[in-house]
Amino acid sequence: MSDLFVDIKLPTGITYQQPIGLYIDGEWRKSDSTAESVNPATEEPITSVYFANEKDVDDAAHAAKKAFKQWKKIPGAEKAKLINKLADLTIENLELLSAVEALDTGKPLELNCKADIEGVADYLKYCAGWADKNHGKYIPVTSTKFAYTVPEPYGVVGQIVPWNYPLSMSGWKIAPALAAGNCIIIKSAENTPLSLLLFATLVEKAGFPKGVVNIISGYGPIAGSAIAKHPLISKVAFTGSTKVGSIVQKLAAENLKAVTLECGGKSPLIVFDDADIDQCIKWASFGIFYNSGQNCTSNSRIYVQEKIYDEFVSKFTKFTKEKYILKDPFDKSCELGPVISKIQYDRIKNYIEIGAKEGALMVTGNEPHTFKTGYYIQPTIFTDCTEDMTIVKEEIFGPVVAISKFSTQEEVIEKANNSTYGLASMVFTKDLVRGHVMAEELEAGMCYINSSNDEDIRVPFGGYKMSGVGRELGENGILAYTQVKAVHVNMGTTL
Amino acid sequence: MLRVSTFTGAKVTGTTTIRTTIGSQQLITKSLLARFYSSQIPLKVPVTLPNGIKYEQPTGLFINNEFVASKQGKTFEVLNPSTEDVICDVYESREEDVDLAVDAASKAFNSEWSSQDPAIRGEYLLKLADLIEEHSEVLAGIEALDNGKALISARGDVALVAKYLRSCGGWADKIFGSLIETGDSHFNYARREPLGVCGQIIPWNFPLLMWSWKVGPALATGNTVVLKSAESTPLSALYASQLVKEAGFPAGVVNTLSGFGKITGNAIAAHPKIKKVAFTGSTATGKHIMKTAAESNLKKVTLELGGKSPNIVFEDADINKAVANIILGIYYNSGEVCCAGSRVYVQESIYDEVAKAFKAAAEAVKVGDPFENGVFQGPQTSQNQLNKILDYINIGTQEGATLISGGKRKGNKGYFVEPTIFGDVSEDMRIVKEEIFGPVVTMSKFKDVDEVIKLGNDTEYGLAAGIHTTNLNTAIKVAHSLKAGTVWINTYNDFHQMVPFGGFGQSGIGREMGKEALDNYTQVKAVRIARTN
Repeated sequence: MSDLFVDIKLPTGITYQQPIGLYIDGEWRKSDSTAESVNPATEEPITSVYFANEKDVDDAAHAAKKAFKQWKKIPGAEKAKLINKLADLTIENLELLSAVEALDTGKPLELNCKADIEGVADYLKYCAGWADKNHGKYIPVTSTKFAYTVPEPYGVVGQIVPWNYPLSMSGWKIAPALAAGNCIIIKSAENTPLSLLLFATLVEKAGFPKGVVNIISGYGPIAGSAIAKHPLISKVAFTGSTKVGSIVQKLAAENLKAVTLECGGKSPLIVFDDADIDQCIKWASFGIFYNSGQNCTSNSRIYVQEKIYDEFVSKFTKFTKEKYILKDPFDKSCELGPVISKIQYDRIKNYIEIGAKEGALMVTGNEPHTFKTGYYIQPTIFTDCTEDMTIVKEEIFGPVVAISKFSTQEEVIEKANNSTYGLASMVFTKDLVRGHVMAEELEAGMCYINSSNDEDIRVPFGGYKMSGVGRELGENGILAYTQVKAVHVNMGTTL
Repeated sequence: MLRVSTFTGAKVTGTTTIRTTIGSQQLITKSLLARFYSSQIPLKVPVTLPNGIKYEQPTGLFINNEFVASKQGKTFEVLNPSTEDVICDVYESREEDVDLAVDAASKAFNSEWSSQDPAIRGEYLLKLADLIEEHSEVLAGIEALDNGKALISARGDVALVAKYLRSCGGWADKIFGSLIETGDSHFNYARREPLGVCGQIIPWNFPLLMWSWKVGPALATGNTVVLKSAESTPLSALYASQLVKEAGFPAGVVNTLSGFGKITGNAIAAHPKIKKVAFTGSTATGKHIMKTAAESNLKKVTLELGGKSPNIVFEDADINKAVANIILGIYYNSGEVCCAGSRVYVQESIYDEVAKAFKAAAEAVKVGDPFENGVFQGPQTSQNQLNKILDYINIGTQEGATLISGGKRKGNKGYFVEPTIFGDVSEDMRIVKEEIFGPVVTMSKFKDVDEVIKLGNDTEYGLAAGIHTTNLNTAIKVAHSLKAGTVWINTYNDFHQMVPFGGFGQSGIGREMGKEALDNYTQVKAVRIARTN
């Protein structure tokens, strides 16, 4: 067993035990391959963890299937107690989980990771509250028919989470799935497996029966694909790129799994000339540079009404330069760390080059910094962008924003909707009516009026168009893990 | 149980005997004069439960998160109905104490309590549920001591209290409004807002459980509470109030007063700053409360009142199970249950068989000390109740009903009544029409579904009903035809925190538990925004 746990010393000075195995059927186990997880701030390997192959996924699916037989009999209120317990354990381990997250992702410890972990606990509690409140309906039909619906779990659900919010997105998946009564196989992203493995120890401590939650690390094309196509898995939930989301949906079609996808975005933030500019620049800057821009809902396109365009650009640039300064993730004041990996780093840098080549004006970005190692990228602001530019069309998933000008409301609606994506949208105006009209006109799953990336676990989250299928969070999050059974009772119809 | 130990005006309404406290085994002697001036009982007294558990019983009024003496310093005795001994004295609230509690509750309501992130309220409720579980043995013991209910029933009550409060914790951030589409010209939504200070008056048959049914949804939806416990059973609510503070609720959110219906209850129902009153108790008092609420300030009213619930056995039922459910329906909690299945209707082909089995089962019910193993039925809660029940038994005999089983007080110390069955009753008899609220049941025959629906509905009440059959169609048809807020099929007195409970007809207004309880504590605000400039 001892070789399934390694001691890791965190930059905070604390040494802890990191599980590195696969957590299947309540046991830690090895697999036939391992992969290194790298610290994006130092480019040094942290440790190697075991990666699941198809057989491991199959074992997990069978374990979950077996566990479901018992799990489905446990009343919702009892499930709620276990989920609440897991929430309490998450908070008890807040410091450790946050530090592990910061180490593995390069996300700022104090200002990002802690909020992520607190969010996991909050969402677990919220979903625990739902566990006994997912009601069916009695449907009055005729006097000779008694009809009702029963909300039932899918059974075994597969979940594939991304690297930008490793534990936070795992919480978004695990909490509602358990509350709705499912058993789980969840796979972390290949470059950020550590926090979820550590979380598995809390799942065990909370007292969940064996096999209810199975946690694996692995590559998308191997373990992820195995989950997406496994015949015992009745539903798959994926958060990640649109490209991979499309693959997951195709694989899921093999046994017609239910699918929810949270994919990419190129979310427009629209600033009308009556907006409170000082507030707007802060939200807009937060909306693109928080988490180094590695947000599916980042406001990577900003449209500013012409009258205030120059003022906005100058204030926005000044604020960003003052606020988002590259620092080590473990520095308590760090608000901007490195991006996740060499691949992402190269990809973002390439987009910055393309932006410049296509004629956008880089008002800040590419300034030298002092870090000798790590995937650090300065906040990058392009102005004078046009709709045909690659940096306006494609998701960059980094600290890069494209600002354009508009003159009328009709024009900006047209531009904002001119995207294959439809995840979030942001509107800044003091005109209440215009705010509501815009919310209605924008083709997006979320519209923030006078804020950005300001989600709440009680409010549904998800995308229009190629940004996704289904919704997470809120009551919708529970329904995403529920299938409805209709029961018809013959009360006297004779043939 | 209580005995009044104060003066109202110049008239003595209490008794002045020497009594033994359960806790300290000391003799307490009080003169009439001392009672009149007495104001200084300690705010906490040690009590030893019959099972040996010792605990500190708060005696004050719980106002603004503190236990305080009542303004007038009046107190009353709390009796153990199993022994008729005094457990302790508690402070009695009067109008001025209600004012203080309402001020505290108003202040709390106008603080961030009602407008902050509702998940915070949820957290407090979850914590309170955990604390109730931690203290469950003490709380169950207090209930058994003060109310006389069997310890096993008391434990069931406390378990449901924790479950219900936990469930309310989950509701706190799920009080949804709605968005209403009316076309392009307007944007409309409706939000559900708390009412403000809620007055709550609870009965003595389920002291702690009713406390939770009232407090839980009121707090989940962001209200604040001034609650009066029943004068005969104030102890568990006071003990639970300590836990409210420990759970972290801000001062003034929950205020618990011991006191009498005619004084404190009336002051709550009439108070101009209280926006809503919720009452559980008799139909007569419920009507009075509704009138008082209307006269004072048109308070919102929810009422959970009396019942005379039919418990129906069809010829295809599993007779052993049906009899077990009839027993549970009428002798559980000594019959002091508003939804007790006090009218049993048996299909004629099996009437004799059921009567025989029921008589044997009733005679096998163990009546006695609530703390004794195996006891199912404890004493009635008070001398008044005992007298009332014995009167009804007399009336039944005089009306010509056949006494099949029981019919007498059991022993001469403690308010015990034998499990009683009347047969050969007719629909016009008082024992069939009126709520007895004790271990007394009537049994009659019926021919078919249509007749029993008619009989079942022949009452001014409509709280609950039981149906025992193996035929699904009969079950559903009868369930849908009975005028009752709860229908139990092949079970009885079977509560769940997610399933609403409340009455049709004169059994009440509104529902408790489940999602429906939240409606009792919210009011809807419609917001309509014109979109054309």
